[in-house]
Amino acid sequence: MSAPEPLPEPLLAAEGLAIHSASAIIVRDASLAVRPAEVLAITGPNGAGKSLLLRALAGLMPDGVRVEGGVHRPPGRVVLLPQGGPLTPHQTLGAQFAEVTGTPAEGRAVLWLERLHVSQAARRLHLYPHQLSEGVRWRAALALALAAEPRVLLADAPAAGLDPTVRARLLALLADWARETGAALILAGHTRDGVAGPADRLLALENGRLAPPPVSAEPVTAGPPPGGAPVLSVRDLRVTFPLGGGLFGGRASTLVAVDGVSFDVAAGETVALLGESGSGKSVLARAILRLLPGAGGRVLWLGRDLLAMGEEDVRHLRHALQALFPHPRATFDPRRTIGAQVAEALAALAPEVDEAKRRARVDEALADAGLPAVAADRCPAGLTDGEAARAGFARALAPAPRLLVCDEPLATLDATDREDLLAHLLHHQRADSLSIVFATEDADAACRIGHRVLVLLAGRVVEEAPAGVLTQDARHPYTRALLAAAGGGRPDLAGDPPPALRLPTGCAARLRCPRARDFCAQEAPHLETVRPGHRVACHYWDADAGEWDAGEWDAGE
Amino acid sequence: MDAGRFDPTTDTPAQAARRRFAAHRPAVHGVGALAVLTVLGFVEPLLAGPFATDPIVRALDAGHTTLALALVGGTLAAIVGAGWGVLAVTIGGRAERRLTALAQGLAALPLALLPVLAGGLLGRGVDLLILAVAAAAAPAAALATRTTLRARARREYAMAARAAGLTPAMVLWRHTIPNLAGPLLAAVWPVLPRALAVESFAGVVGLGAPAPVDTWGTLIGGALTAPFGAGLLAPALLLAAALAALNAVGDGVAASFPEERP
Repeated sequence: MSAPEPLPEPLLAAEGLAIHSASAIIVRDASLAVRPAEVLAITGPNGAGKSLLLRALAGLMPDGVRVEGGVHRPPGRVVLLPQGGPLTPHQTLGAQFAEVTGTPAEGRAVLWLERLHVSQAARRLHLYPHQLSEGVRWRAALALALAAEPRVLLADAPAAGLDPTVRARLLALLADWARETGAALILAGHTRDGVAGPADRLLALENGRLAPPPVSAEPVTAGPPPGGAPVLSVRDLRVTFPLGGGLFGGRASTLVAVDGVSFDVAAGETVALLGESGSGKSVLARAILRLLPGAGGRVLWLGRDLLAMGEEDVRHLRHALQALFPHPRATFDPRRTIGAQVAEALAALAPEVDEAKRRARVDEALADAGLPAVAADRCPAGLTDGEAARAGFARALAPAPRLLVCDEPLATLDATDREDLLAHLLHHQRADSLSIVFATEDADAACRIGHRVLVLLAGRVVEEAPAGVLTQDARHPYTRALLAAAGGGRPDLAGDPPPALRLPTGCAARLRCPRARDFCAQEAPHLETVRPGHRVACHYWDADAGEWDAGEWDAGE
Repeated sequence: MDAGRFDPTTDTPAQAARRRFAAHRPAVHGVGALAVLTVLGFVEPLLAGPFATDPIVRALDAGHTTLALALVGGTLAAIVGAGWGVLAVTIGGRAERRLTALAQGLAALPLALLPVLAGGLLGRGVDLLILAVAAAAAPAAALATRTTLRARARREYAMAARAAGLTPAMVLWRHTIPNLAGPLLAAVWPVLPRALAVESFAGVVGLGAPAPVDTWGTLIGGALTAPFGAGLLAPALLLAAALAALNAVGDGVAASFPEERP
């Protein structure tokens, strides 16, 4: 075995870098170096200074911010792709490429776009940014950055806001580019933005310090699945929204958001609803609680059908059926204090509790959720994201519910808050045998805290299995892509999710699916049993791994 | 603390709105100017005896009438317009598009001519003038109401409150209406300067309030025919000041209720 090669010289290096604004030190004594063909990820919570650090590395500081310390930049271009991937609104894509590359030749622009898997690239060069979908817009912004042929590319929250499967694939393509061309790539973002996935090395920026991230504690996982009869049974639930039509007539159409979903939840059990945005998981979560009207099917709570009940009867059951929503701050009335709103909920749900006891229970619930006592007197705007999420937990758990339906409750949180609240949730589940329905787009969270996982696509369940089975032997390509995205891998699902009103015929995944064959367009697959408790809706679920790879080869991917 | 700075840890939203209004200098000056105009109207009778025909005294005398007409007409327009907008958003769908298109079409017409037409065709009268002024200002208020409701009404807190066991009526009265009141006030406020301008225009062309009633508009209209435009300056300046003050206060109200981000 030969001696290890000496490491190449770093392309971009910073030593003792400090960033000051007028009133605060944002980053202190940061040192980093990226070598050719290296991918570095910098993670950090909101407002940690990630964007400013990238701008300092690129030498593009805003007014009023001072930088100390040295940054060694390579000869050649250092390109910064700012947050949101902005494109110039009044120029076509082609014009923007011409500006970057210095030639009006379209051929190279098309190559760059195709490299980032933009379909019909030549046609899109004549479009303006507002005519592109979000996914294509991000691809175009990344392609423009690559077309500048940088030696170092600094990408700030690249592709954030896209679905995890799409984002993970784009980040993997970026990393491929860096490794092939020997450029250096720095990805900055939240941990939830998946920037760590394709990275060779990870740094965390927190409280102004840049350091390798602390070794995280054992992640929270659900306990063993409880047995017992179901408390909640959903049968063939269907939710639709009317479109068009109205008072003065007109052609009406219907958007089917949830189509024939059935599942059971036992006491103390967690069922995770996993899916991309637009898969119907939020609508399903709300329809279970009768916050949206169901168009068909049954939702049986302890044997009583919630969909068939009157509004007032459902209201009397709500103390047992509580909800957590995404954007916790927006779920509180901005004009009233947190304490008043938790008390209001308690008064409505448990009117038998008297005033003094109620106040004690509010304080207890807030303290239990990990909020300081002063938080009760604050309005929502005075809380951090983490505190607002805790306030949401306090309000939902104060009436001692038996079922908690969570719709992406942790989506806006930093990694630490997220783990804290998951632990809190599971603690309550064990203590009170709380049943949980947990909707998320994060396959990792779904499989860690769910006992069973339902994978949703275009309003239908495409795979359902115990969490352990799903992580080991997922059969649907869509499930595999979601798992790959959560694990930092490369999801094997092409393109962007189709818009809800223009779903392809047959299988909803077929336009993106590596296994798709002609038959997939003819008939939508039904759930078939793989093994007891594991069902999948894919015509070719039993295509084994080898055959699948061959199919991919044929498709010329 | 800095007057305009909103400190969410200590301020309630109502305090923050007051603080933002106080920090809006033109709006504070506008309130002052309107207060001065109102008070001068009360002082004027003391001067009326010896100087009753002086143009300045007559203009001050007309101030109360003018502002009262604008206030009544504007309030009527605000009620009709807000009702129109709320109705459109509540029904939704195609009916909302039709109602909005109607308001847009009307707002595009030169509605300032409405009181003039009414005065010319149906005869002059204070009641008719108020109705015509209100009709001229209402479509714009309807559009502003609908835009505000669309931007702010679909908030998660209403759904969360229902999940927390509140009845729809409780959600409406305790959460939705208090949260929309401020932004709606800001949205419909421009009807007041609009009503004042429309009413004054009718007065200037001689089809405003009938004879014994003086408004700034009718005074300006009368002065135009007088030799050298005698008596034009006082009502014109007061009208300009009142319009500027009303618009400035409107800006301040709008600044008090910025679009909040969740």
